[in-house]
Amino acid sequence: MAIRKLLSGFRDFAFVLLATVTVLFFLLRLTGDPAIVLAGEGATADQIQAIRVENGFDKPLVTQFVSTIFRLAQGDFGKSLLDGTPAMEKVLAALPATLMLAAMAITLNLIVSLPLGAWLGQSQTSRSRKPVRAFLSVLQGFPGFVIALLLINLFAASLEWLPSIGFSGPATWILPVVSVVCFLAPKLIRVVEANTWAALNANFVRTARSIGASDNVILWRHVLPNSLLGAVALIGAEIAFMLTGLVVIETIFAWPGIGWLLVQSTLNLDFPVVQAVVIVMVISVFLSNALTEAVQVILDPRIRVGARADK
Amino acid sequence: MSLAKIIRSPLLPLGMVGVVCALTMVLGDALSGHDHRAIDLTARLLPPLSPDHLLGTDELGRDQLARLLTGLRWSVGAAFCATVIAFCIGSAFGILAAHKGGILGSALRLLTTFTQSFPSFVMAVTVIAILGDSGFVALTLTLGLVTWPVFSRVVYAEARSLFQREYVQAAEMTGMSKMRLYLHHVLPALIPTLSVLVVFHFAEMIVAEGALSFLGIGAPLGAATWGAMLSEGRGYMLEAPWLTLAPAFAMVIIIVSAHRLGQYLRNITR
Repeated sequence: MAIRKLLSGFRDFAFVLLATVTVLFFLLRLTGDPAIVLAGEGATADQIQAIRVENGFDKPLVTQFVSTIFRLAQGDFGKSLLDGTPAMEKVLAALPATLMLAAMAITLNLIVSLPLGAWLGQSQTSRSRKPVRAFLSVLQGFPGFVIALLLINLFAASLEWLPSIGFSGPATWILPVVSVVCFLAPKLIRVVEANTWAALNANFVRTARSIGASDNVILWRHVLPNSLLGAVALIGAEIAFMLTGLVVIETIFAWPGIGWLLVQSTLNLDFPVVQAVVIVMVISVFLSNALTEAVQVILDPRIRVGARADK
Repeated sequence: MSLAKIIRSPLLPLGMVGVVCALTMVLGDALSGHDHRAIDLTARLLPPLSPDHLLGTDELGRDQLARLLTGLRWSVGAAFCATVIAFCIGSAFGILAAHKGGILGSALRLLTTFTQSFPSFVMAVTVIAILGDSGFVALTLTLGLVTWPVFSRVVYAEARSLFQREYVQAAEMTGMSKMRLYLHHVLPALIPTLSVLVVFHFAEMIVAEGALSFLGIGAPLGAATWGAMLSEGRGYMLEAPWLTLAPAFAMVIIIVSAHRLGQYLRNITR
């Protein structure tokens, strides 16, 4: 069964990659003429034609498509149309910045959300929790990039405590990470809260209480592991989101990650780089989804048993 | 309903937001009393509550309230149209796939795998940037066309069990047309789920539109949209923070209202 699962995973992966490459190729070629962009302003028709021939833009679309697929299969992603460096090299150079932002944001998110969610989940009627809930539900309405702008407005422009943009040392990391966490935390807190509440009222907790377990033992030993289970799926989705969805936040903070690179290269019509960025994003999202599923299976025996029962 | 009951209703603030949106949609510039394009260099960067300019003016002396309301027309209009497009394509495809199964079912499964790995926002950025001169139509079409699988996934899951229900099977056996079967017997049963989904999708489209305009690849250059206003206001954060605050809070009010409405609908349909 495991092998079959693995094979179907590979099939899906191959399909997604091929579909991505196809969609990108036709979108990019059908709508603009890269030769004109490459030649720059004031180029003569001859110069444009020379660039067209040099890059193979003059051949029929199908020929270009087949040769693109072959070159991609050999790991040749082409060169940046702007400065001639290999496209994949540019993307791999930008990837660590994105991964770093994602790692810091996830860590801070967990540090904030798990205790807060567990605390909120212990009572649905308590008065002290009400303002926190109200605050979180409003915070959930703030788009990530709006939070980023408001934080810059307050801490960088008005108070001048922190630098507003850039990527040079811990002081510049604070605002981007906090903006991402403000955006992600309400959702995670919600899930942890709901799971904690559900676990507290589950039969196994009643049993534990009836045999005399203390409140602390119940919370740490019986409730939290269960509320973590639900959080894993969401954290997986958040990682996938951060590998692709930080486009705007990275642009705001001039954070040199792959989201920023995507915007820059789409605006410059730098096709090979766009293609390489999207392929790297698709691969990393696929991997993080697969990893999340694996972690869930390891943590929760019920999923394993369920899968076996289905067969 | 008594007046006291109306005042205490959770729907009152939502209704007020709705009325403001509707008025703006219909009246446009007449509501603020200013042309949102009128440049007045003698009245640059006026703070809010200035005489004649309720929300102040921007770096070219344009009335901020007029621009905000024009942005509302654009953002709410774009998000609404994109949601309608996604809803129509998504639910049609979902119902068809649930009924026919076979190739459509597998296509939907592959499509779901594809959209889960190729996020719609990245797709929209790429498509719009490539299309070049973007306008309202290109923007809404792109947003609708890249996000519809959200609807088809949910509709497919629910409709599949619906087609097993006796009343749907009985309706099918009477030999009525497929269209009538889908529209009169299947779709009504999906409305509770779909109404919640539509409202939350609308909120997401507001965010997506704002983000695209902010990046300068949504609305045409110079248009008064919330995203563009945020991006222009960035340059004047110190002298004129209201230039970023006003569109930011306008956007948040619309999104929070949509979330509230979604939660309300979810509670009453459950």
